[in-house]
Amino acid sequence: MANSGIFSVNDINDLINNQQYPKIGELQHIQTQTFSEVYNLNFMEIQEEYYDVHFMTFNRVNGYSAINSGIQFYEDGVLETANVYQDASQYGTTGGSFGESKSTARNRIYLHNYGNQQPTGGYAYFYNLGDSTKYSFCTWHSIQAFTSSGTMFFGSGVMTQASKVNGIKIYIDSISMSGSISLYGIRYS
Amino acid sequence: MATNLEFIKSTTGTSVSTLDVTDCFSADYDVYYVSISKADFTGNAYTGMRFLDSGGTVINQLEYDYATLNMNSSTSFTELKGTSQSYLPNFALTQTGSEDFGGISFYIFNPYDSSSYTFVTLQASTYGGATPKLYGSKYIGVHKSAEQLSGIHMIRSDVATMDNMTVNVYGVK
Repeated sequence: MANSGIFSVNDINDLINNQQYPKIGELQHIQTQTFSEVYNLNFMEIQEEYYDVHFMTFNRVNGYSAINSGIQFYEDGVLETANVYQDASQYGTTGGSFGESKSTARNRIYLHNYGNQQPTGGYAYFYNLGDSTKYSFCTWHSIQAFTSSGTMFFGSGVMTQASKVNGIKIYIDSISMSGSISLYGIRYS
Repeated sequence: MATNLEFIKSTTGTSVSTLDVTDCFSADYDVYYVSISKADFTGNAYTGMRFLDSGGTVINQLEYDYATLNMNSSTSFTELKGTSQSYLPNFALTQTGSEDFGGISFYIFNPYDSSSYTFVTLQASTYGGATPKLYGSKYIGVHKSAEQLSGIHMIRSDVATMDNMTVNVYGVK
């Protein structure tokens, strides 16, 4: 539809029907980063003033050797690296091994392992990032494909201080990673 | 056609012991996403839910099964499960405090289909307690009656007042 600059109600309805006009309540794309052999990945335009809930997807993310991945938050532009994060997660393998991972004092929210050039897919929800009176929380669920087996992870995490979070860092150890990660806001959530 | 979430309804309760989200299911969607990101409680209790039947009546018969892994950041995880329950209990344990509620995201499958059971998957994150720590829930549940449902009925295991709670319902298109 040509944009004359002014939408009539019928124009808007037509655009909505064709998925070309945003509505309150939609899953709204904020940013996708496709990356190769990077050591840091930051989402710094998370539009926290608009969304109470953020949704993140991980697509074919892998490390160049086995690495641990996590989340750190930026508070008003300053990365929080102290041991103020807690997490609790469960892992399970297709071989039948299950176990717990947890900590009350970590320097990031531990998410999952990235295998040696084996892809990981998953998703995470984030809560309260833009609310300076609340702790910031997340939940996630992911699957990593090893050559001979798969491992799933799910869990919850929190940064235990009330602050306004305006950025998300994908924390990794010293090994580079590649893949694609997208961030969305859930409008009116 | 592109897929997306489509906002259906938001319901907020203040100083209530239960909260109903009425007439949020329809033939337009098979799958629903429900987000609870704003809630404060004064008691130490779990969150739970029931469904509303097609007439809007709360279903409190022994028609619910559930299983959950209760995770926390400092001690061993625990499994909670039950069959023939009067509601879907035991998720999102919260304590007193305004900063301790993270959020609950859940998906509901086939609630409007009168020929199918209704299924729920859920994940939640909260914080608190006498020795404060993180609590996480990974949850599955089912309403074991093939009937058309119309809405959601939120409750607390201590039957205490919710200071406030907002429930947002989306259709997954």
